[in-house]
Amino acid sequence: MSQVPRTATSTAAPTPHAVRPLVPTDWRRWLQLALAAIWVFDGILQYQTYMFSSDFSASFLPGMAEGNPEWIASSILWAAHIVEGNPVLINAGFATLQLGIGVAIAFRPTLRVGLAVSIVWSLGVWWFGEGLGMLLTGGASALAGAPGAVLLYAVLALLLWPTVKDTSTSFVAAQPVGVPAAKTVWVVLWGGLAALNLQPSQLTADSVNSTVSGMGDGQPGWVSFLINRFAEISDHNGVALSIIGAIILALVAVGIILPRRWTRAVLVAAVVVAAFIWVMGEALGAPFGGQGTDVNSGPLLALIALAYWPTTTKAVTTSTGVLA
Amino acid sequence: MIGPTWLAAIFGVIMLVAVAVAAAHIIAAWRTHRTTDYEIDIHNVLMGVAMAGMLIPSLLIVTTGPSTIAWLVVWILLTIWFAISVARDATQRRHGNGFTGHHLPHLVMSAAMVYMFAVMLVPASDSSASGTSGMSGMSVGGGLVPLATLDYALVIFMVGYAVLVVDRLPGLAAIGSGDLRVVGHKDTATTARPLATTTAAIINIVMAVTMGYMLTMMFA
Repeated sequence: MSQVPRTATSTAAPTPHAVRPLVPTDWRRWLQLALAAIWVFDGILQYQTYMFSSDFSASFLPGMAEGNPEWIASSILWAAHIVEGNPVLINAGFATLQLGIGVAIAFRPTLRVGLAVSIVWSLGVWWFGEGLGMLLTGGASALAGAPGAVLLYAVLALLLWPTVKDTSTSFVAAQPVGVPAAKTVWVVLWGGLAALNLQPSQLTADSVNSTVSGMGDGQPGWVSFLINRFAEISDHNGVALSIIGAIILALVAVGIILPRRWTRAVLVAAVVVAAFIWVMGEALGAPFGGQGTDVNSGPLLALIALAYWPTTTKAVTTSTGVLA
Repeated sequence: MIGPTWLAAIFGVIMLVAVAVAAAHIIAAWRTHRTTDYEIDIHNVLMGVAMAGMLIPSLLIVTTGPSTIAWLVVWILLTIWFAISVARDATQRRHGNGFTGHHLPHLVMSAAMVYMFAVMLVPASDSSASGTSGMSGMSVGGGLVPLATLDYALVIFMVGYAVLVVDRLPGLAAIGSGDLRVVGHKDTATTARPLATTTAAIINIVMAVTMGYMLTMMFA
């Protein structure tokens, strides 16, 4: 886009197609591009040196099997063993695929392909790379990244799927699946996170502290400061904080079915909760240190919330005939 | 700091190809008297050369010491240049001009180059540092990279910019290099024939992704 001429060389009349807008014209497209950017970033993160090492396949991946039921653990170990056989080639493929998914989503003619591949890939990584978000281990929590960031990529791909449905009285997430289904997804997601906070493992004095303690190590000073302060507060207060967290998450969950005038407040609250999780529990995805594989769940939860923001924008046909 | 050597070499070669295309773009525009944005083209050439030099140290384009300082000065000057351009764009926008330029991404890219070259100088002034090697001497002493949050923000900007330009590609292709497009204020608009707009956009995408890669490798 940088090569726009600065001086005119012709005096012919402008043609109509010459003034076609070159920026996204609807909210859904902006969200799709945000998802694309996260995929591109994930691809770049996957190119880090550590991901090509045998340590990644021999330690990091098998670690996801711990605590999972035998049949899941064995499948994770099987996948890790395959990666261990040729970590450089396989990881290069992983990284390039993620980069390609991002570009495909951003490039309108390949949008559907990009989203479809992202769903398949996300579910695969959720299983083999994240141990189903550790949901079956009994130790998962929203603060620790549940239900697994990659599952949220798949949810987002579904909610942002291009459609020709009238959008004048709805929100972006409802366009491909309908309002009832979209609201069900919301309630299940946030309600599920609330329920995770009430697991026995989370109702202990040090449950929150053990999650956040040490997360600030190796991160920028302001992030370390915030996490360390929260770790101090959470010390021996795990039960109270887990219950408070569960109440907040439950309110966010049911908030989507409240009258429309409350919707924006609930969504703002959801974004704030997502930001809190991202900073305090995930250290911005813990990218520093060279072992971060993705941005983690915080930005994706926020992106999902934005997909429920009330909008009157209608789906538009782009210059290429592809619905954005 | 540059990740696997072979991967850095691939990115470096991609940069050299981008430099060749950008240079050909300048020459073609000059020879055919077609419009192009020379400051952006020259910026892309310089950025591609510098990044290729950092990615492939054996090219000896970027070495430690005076070479790094010279590059740093170049990028500081370019950052100032684009800052002035952005300010000029803003002024024109306030006066109601339709198209007012697109220098902001290049300002940020220049600033990112300043950041990377400045980081390269950190260990040079601290002989006791025992960091990892890479990026033609770039090292941060084994700890957190200086201004880590800025580094993170720059990566986010680069990937965001890259996907925005990718999103615009179909529109650019529709405009085409031979079609007319509107330039200037709506009341006095004329048209021009841009040169290989899609190619130029792809160069920007490649530059942004490669810079995002380099900035991310500094995380470790």
